[in-house]
Amino acid sequence: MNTIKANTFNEIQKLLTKKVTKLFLLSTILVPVLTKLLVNHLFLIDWVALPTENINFTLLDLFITILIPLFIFIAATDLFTGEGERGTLFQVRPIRRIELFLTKVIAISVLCLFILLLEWLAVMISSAVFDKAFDIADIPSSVGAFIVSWFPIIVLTAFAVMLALFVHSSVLAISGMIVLYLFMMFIPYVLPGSLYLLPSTYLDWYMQWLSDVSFRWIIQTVTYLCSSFALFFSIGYYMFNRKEA
Amino acid sequence: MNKKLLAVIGISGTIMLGSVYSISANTSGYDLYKEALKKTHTAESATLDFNLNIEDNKKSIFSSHSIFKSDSVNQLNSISTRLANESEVSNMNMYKQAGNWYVIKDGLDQVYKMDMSKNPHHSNTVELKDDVENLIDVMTKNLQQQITVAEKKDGNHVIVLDLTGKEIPLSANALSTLMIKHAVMLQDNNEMESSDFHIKTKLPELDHEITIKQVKLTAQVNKENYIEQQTIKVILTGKDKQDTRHELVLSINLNATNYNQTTVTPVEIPADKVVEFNHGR
Repeated sequence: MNTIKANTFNEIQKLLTKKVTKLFLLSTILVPVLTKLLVNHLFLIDWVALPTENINFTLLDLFITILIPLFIFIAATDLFTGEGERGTLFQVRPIRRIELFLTKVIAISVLCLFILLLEWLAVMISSAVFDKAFDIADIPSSVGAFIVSWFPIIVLTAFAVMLALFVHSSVLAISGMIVLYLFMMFIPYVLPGSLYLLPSTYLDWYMQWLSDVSFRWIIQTVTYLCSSFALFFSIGYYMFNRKEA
Repeated sequence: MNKKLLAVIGISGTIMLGSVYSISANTSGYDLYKEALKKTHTAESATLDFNLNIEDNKKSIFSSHSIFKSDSVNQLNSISTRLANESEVSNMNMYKQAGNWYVIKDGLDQVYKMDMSKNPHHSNTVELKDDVENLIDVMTKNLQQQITVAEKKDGNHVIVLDLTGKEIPLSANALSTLMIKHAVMLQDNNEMESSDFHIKTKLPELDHEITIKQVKLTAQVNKENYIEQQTIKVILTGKDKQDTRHELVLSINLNATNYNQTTVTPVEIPADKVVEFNHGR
């Protein structure tokens, strides 16, 4: 257990020293603040009074469908493909392969949760400062929405890690993931049957938690998320295990 | 080790496919409504009772009541409409027979004839409809879960979509407010060339803080899968230039009866009173 904990910290530290991670964390704070400033103090849109909560959720949408997936792709590429290229993937350390694999996946997921919570904090603080219609009663539903969004993001992390292990070049991995992600966003318009097969479909599932959710639907989607995580994780580990040190 | 891992891959993959299948197989109110809409379009004839009402701060500023009889086998339609705003009432009858629309308005001696044969709006192919359907299916994926269905004792289904405030997608809200803002501006420009066909509505000129408060759609589908009743209610709030608050309520109520049993009797059109009316030119 201690090795897992120690190595998770180690992997998080590796990610945090990267410039791109710092950039993501900075944008997590800046994007909500700037949006709120624009919405409330720009004459261009004074004719419309959009519900404050609505804007908060649009900000969440922006992060869970664009920025966080992008961060996941970069992090997964760096921790797996990049280290494979540099030859630092398997260090001389008393750690089993499964532990190493697990800690890397946990590290990316934890950082995603951190980004989500930081964004929530930035949204709430800027909303309290700039919005006239800030309502404290909205806090539980919004924090719930941000935390619930974490689960499909973990699945996407496992998916990205799996893809990162299939390719041997960082450039190919990151560009391939972005192209594939865009493809996943648009393919349902052509083939509606594929919609619920893709992990990207579930990224905005928090919306359905906000309204009255049906029990049946919870079971179905949670089953999907758990089983697809297990699938991506185990395929990823299978690939990871076969790699030569 | 490898065998165990392969077993996990196999089992989780199967469960995943199973959950995808069961999610796709969810028959929602959305599908029920879509099917009913398709079925309703295939009806050969029907009588529709159409009510539209616009209220501004609880005061009716425009209302219309129409009875629309349609018989697509014999290509016959008749519409009788009663329009009213705050002060005026007007009645109008329209008939479609022999491929043309005839309009008879109360208090006018003439019969207006509209030539619809050159109307370019009939080129909808089935393929295009399918594409649009796919597009709408995917775009409304999150809204579809909010549609509720209740079955009544007589076998009819009541389908409801009720969206308030934050549940209305931001883009839809922003787009429709933009449209309303422009509609008000267009209304200003058109004021000069008033036609004597329709009663003018004086919509309040909303200027700022426009937002859609509620959208509620209900539909009642009968056992034969025809839509029997459809209501739409949209509540919109905003302030005009004088900072007065307006709450506009648009309600539409559509009742359909006599599916496949409506007969439309052609009316005599006195040929000497017919005036050609150029539609939209």
